[in-house]
Amino acid sequence: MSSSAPSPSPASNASAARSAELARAKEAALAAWLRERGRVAIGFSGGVDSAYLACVAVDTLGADNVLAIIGRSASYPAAQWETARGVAQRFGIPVLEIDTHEMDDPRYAANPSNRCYFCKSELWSLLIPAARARGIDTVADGTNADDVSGHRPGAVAAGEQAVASPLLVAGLTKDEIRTLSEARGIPTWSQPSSPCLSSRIPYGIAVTATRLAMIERAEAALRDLGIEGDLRVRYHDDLARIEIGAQELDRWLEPVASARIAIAVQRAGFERVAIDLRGFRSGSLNVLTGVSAA
Amino acid sequence: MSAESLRRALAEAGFAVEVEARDRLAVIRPRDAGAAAAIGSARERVSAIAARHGFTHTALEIAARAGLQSAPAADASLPGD
Repeated sequence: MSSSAPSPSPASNASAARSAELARAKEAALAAWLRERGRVAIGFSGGVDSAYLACVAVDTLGADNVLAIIGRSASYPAAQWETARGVAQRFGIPVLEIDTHEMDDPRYAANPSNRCYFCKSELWSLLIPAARARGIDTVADGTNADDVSGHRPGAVAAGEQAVASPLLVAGLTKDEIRTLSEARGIPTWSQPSSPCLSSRIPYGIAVTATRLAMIERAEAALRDLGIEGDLRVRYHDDLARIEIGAQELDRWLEPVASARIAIAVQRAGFERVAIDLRGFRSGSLNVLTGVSAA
Repeated sequence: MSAESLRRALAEAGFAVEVEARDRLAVIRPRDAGAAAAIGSARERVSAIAARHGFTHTALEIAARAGLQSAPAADASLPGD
């Protein structure tokens, strides 16, 4: 008697085939959109979406017609930068790095619920002239078809500055982008979503370089311990509230494992450490502070 | 929402803990290793009890020395180091 898992049914195979065909059709629509523009600059964080977009753009237009621009600041994790550089090198994506200064804007640093608007306004106000100076008129971001709901004031800033969202135009969802990225061998296909470090600080609590550095150190230390998948270190003054994937909670709530977490996070600068009992929730701090819509 | 009312509700459910309220976040501080283990094993039930008391988030405070509630020195060695 075989002990292997049951094979997928013909119906589920057919459904998967239809999904794959639909994703490929959307990718073809994305390529057509890119060809119509001829040259494109991409706000490039090294996340799942912008990495995929940059790879398709180079594949479609050639490297001479693509520029991936990285905006660097204290809210951009070093690990993310390394991922971005790695993807760019592997897939021959030309990269320009620009320092952004949203931390110097008191409207951003005060951390209002529309904080992302001020960050993205700063980012695009620097990226667009940099692209134009290199003869590139179209500037694009990695917004996808799943990104139209929720609290996203950063999208308002992109809209005001006429930043294009070709993944959204093509109707590509996050799952489809992951599937297509895997097919292309882009290593970010399985990477967790990675919003900026400021998203770990509740609205109304000032964003400072010191706090961002504590959060970044703590998350890096927890990755070093072996925590995989979704991970957030949420800032609550002296207390760090750790969100990890619900499937990881049994492992890390075990006494010795949780002690290792506590030590790692305290070394990063927090006095107290707590593990969220519901695990990772996207937009968790929005729930905590009562923000539900842009 | 009240930390004390949640503490009492958790005590009635058999969990020996202290509760600190930070807005809608309940920080659960176990009184001993047994309580910490019990909370971890029953986390969905504990979260549900906290939600009934108005807390959107429930977190279990952990200590650097396994089984101890109070925070130790930050330079404590890692278990197994």
